[in-house]
Order: sequence, then C-alpha cells, then structure tokens
Amino acid sequence: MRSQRSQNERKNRIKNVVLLLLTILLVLLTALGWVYDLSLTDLPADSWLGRMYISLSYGEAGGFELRSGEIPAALPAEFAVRTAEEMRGAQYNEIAVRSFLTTYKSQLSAALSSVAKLTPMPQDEYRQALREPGIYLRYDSRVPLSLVTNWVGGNSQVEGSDVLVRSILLTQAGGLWVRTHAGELYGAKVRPMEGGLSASDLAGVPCVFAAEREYPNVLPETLLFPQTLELHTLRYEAPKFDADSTASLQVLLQAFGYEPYMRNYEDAGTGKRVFVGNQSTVRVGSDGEVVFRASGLEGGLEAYLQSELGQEQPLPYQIDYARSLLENIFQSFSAEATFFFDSHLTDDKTTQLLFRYAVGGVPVEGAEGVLAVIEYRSNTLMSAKLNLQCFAQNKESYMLMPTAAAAAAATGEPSGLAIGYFAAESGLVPSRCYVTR
Amino acid sequence: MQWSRVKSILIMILLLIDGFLIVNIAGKYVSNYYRTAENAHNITEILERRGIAQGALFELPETHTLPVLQIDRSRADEDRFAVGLLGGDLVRTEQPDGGTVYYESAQGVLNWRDGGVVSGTLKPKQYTRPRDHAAAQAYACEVLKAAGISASVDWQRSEDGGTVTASFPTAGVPVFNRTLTLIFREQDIELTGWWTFGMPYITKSGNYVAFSATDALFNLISKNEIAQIDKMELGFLLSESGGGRVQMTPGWRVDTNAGSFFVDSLKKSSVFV
Repeated sequence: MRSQRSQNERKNRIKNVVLLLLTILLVLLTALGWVYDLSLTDLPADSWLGRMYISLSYGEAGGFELRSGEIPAALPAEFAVRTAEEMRGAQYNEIAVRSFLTTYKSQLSAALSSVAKLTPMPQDEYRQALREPGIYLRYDSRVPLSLVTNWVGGNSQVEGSDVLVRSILLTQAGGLWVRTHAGELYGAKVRPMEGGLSASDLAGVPCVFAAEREYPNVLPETLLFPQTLELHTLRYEAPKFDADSTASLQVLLQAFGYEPYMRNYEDAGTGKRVFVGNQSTVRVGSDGEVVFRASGLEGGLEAYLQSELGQEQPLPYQIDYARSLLENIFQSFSAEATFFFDSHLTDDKTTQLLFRYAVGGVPVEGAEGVLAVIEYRSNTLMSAKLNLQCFAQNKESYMLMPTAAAAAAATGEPSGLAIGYFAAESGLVPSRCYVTR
Repeated sequence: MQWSRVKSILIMILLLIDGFLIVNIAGKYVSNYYRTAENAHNITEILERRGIAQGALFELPETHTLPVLQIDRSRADEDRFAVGLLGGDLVRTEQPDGGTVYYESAQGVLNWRDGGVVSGTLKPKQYTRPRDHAAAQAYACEVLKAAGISASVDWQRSEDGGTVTASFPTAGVPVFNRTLTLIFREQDIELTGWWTFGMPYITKSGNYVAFSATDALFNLISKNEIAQIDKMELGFLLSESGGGRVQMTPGWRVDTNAGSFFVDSLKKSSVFV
C-alpha cells in the first residue's frame, strides 16, 4: 500500500515537471513563431519591446533612435534666443532653425504640453516679455498649435479651438505667448524653463525685436537684423518622365501604390498619360501636373487606421502621411527644393492640405509655389493634385531690403515681415513682403 | 486520482500544441531555406544566360529589413570638430543661407557643406609626414580624436601608407559613403569626406524597407553593362535630404568588374560608390 502511494507520488511529480516543461516550451515556441514574422512596423516602436527588438536585430542599441514626435512638415521661418547678455537669431536658414529646434525642443514641448487654457493678453505686457530672456520662433505657415506641440514631441491639452500659430514666445521665467495668424495675442503661465539659455552655440547673428525700437507699423515681435540677405532669382521647369531623363516614372507611380506596367493610355484631349488602377487613376502631364484621384473609399490611400487614432485629432496623421507621400514622390526627380505644409481647410466630410515649395528655406509664393493640394475623406487620401517642378538658381541676384528699412517703411495696421519668391518676367524673384492678418 | 487524469489530459493537449508549433516553425525555416536555394539557382541561371560571371566568393545574401533613417545637421558639433582641428582662434564665415560654413586659422582651412560634406587642409604644429602604415594610422587617430570623433571607428589604410580612412556602421551594417579620409602629404594633411554627428532617427510613421538582393541584382544588370559580379553587401548610403537633413537610404552595394554600384531601395536606381 505504501509502495503504491510512493509510486503515485513519483508519477505525480513527474507529471508536474512535464507539465511545467511543456508550458515553458509552449511560451518559447509561441514567442519564436511570433518573432519570426515580426518587424518594427508591427511593434510599438518606442516601447521596451521595440527597443529590445532593435537591439537584437540591429546590434547593441541599434545605432539609431525612435522619436516620439513626427518629422515637422513645416519649420519656423525665423527664431531668436535672448539671454541676459545678448540676443541672436536667424531667418530663412533651415540649418540654423533645425539646430535651434534640436537645442530647445524639450523645453518647448514641456511648455506647450502643460498649457490647459490660453487667455487673451494685452500688448503692453507682451512688449515687456519680449525684453526678457527666452526663446522666440515664427512660422510662415498656418500651423495649428496642437500640430506644433506634436512636432516638438508633446501633446496639446489646450481647451477650445486650435489656434493657428504665427509666433511663439517662451520666456525663461515661464511666460508663454502665442500670436495667431488672425493677429490675436494669447498667453499662459507655465513652469520656468529648465536648463540655461545660450545663444552663442546656435548659428545665429545678433538681432533685436521691433519692440525695442520705434517702429509702430510692424508687430512688436518682428525680428530686425543688421545684415540683409542676397538671394538669386530662380527658374523652374517640369521634370520629364521619359526614357532619356533621370526622373523615374516608376518611383512616382510606386508612391501611389501603382506598378509602371498597369494599364495606361494617352488622353487625347489633354495629352496626359493616364494610369488606371482598380478604383483610382494617376494622370501624368508633361507640364508637371500629376493628379491622383480615387473613385471610392476603396480606391484611396489609407493614411492611418481609425483604431489607432483614439482620442487624438486626425490632422497630424493626415499631414504626416501626406509629407511621407511627397517625400517618396521627391525621390522620383531632382527638385532642388524642399516643401512645407502651408495650410489646411476642413469641413464635415473632407480635409484639404496645401503644401508649398521652398528653395533654400524661402517659400515660393503664388500659384508657382504650390506643390500639392491633397484631399482626405476621414482616414483615406482621396485625391492629390501635384505641380512637380525642378528649380534652379539664375546668376542674377537681388539684395533684399534690410529689415529695419522695411519696418520703417511699413504703413497701416501693424504687420509682420517675411521673404518669398514671387513670379516676375525674369523668373522667380526674391522679395521682402509684409504679412497682415 | 481525478487530478492525475486531468494532468494527463493537459500533458496530451500541450504535447499536441507544442508539436503543432514545432512543425509550423520548422516548416517556415525549411520553406525559407528552399526559397533561398531556388532563388540562388534562378539567379545563377539568369546570369549565365546573360553572360555574366559570378566571382569565386559570390553568394546571394539574405534580405534584412532596414529603416530609412534621418540625421539633422548639427552646427554645434561641426563647430567643435573645426575647433578641435584648427584651434580655438579660428575665423568662421558662412554663406547667407548657412549652407556652407568656412573655418580658417593658422592650422589650416576647413569647410562643412549641406548634407555633411567636409573638406579641408590641415597644417598641425610641428607636422612631419608619417613614414609607415602604423604611424599614419596613429596620427590619424590622434587628429580625429582631437576633433571629437569617437575611437570606435574602423580604420583602413591605403597601399601607399599615406592615406587613412575612418568609418563606422549603423544598425549593424556599413554606411558606404560616410567616411573621413586623411591624406598625409609632405607639408600638410588633406581631409575629405562625408560625416554625420548625433544619433540617426526614425519617427513613428517612418519607413522600413525590405529590398531583396535578387531585385537589386536584376535592377543593376538591366541598366548597366556588367561582365562579372563579385560581392553584394547590404548597407546605407547618405544623401542630402534638404534643409540640412541627411537621409540614410538602405540599399545594396554590388562590387562588379565595372566598379562598385549602390542600388537604392527607394529610387530603384543605381549609382557608383
């Protein structure tokens, strides 16, 4: 009887061990089967699992990082940093702007993410704040505040409507000021900036705000630089997608998910080559006009999954998908230009995004500068009208009007100063211009 | 007694599930193995038909997914690099748009251009040209250390002993054109290359590319006159991405009798490297 019991106990122990081993094996095999098909597109890239996958797949630490924010679809046109000793800034200089954003991104993110409510503020206090140590940036684009917050790696918590930002001033003491494109001035109190301010590390030059001089017809935050800019005029032409050209029709079509061998024909009326998909078409014209149009939701390009949106606004996802699409299209030809998100229009059903060209950081104004008008219905890109152009500098150059002279010559209600390329008989001519509300 | 039976049933169920998983995973590996072998066979056949020879050491490599990475130009790091090489009393000038920055001091000249292209002539104090490979490498290491370049870079020496090239990998693969070359001349040192500072990055919606070696090879031989293929290697190529941003594009470097080509995974085009 005792021997029977001890035998049963031994059997039971063996079964327990086998059960444990088989369970461990089950977990390991499931993990192995999962990892075999895994890629970083399936993983939350900034999670610990994503980091571990990178370390295992690409070596120790991977040699690259996953950023929580997105690549900005528009950069500030100018910035300035004021310390107790000096003030330096730069305008229409993408490298200096990127350097500024890299240095002060985390402070901007912390300040913009912590704001719950923006309050209308008086001009006098703003003029005083402009004299305090802090950082300042201004956009040419009409960018919603939530989007700027997203681009610097934060999440906007601001109640009410999303204002279109023209400029942001963040003082070291924790004063946040936002000037909208409609000319309104808002403010909020945030935590003082962490870390010191340094202007000398950035690729900027000495500058002052117009508030420190007597220029009543420009906005007080207008940056005045002692030097002026000399810019070349531009010429432009449409890329040729033929056999002799370096431009690649294959890459252009692939950006829309098309193969070059899809059914295509030449439209007798317009002379455009029409590529026909199941529920969409891509028309490629010799004048640089490329039009993608879906006939139904199934034929459109899915920008993001509705389920991944959660409580977030769709605009950042729509803009980022459009930016990524345009970057892929830019791989098909040499534009010698960059592009930026200019503005958006939203109604109940659709959202339209406008992207413009910039050459050397300076926007190309007017119809010539429109790169793309992209239309979304919900999470699906339904149409994209592109104006593909290759830009090149002419030998002829123009010395722009100095900022102080332009500020002195301003008339009427206070306006801002900007620079753009404008169409003229000799091509695209650089010029300083006034921006009103 | 009842528990013992339950355990036996559980063991049977677990054995069945584990067995299924093992067969499933083994099936994937075996099918992958056969697919690779078939691909290699097809490639060999196609190359032979086109009269393209394979080098003795040529093997069709496996495909790995790589991210399309971005790097922002860092003016602060470029400044530190220049100060390290030319001393603190250098004079800095730049183009109005900041695209190119020029540095000059008694110890030489240097310029950084958009996209991370650097070139210059260095005249270190009490410079004498190193006479052998080891001395050249030690000198290069010392010069670049002063410029703040990490000691973990790989070093390559030329046949003549007067040229040293530094590079380092990213994501476990080489960056074919990210190199700094120091040519030791009698009076000075010539510095040329393409370099990046800071960590490359990818954002939430960034692209990951799996570009097969077979596709890259077909792309290359359809557009170029090639008689022999010697080696294929997966890696990145730096290219200017506008606004001081540099893009690291995944692709294949193919060594052939006509030179080394980089087959771009995004543009589906090939360029000399």
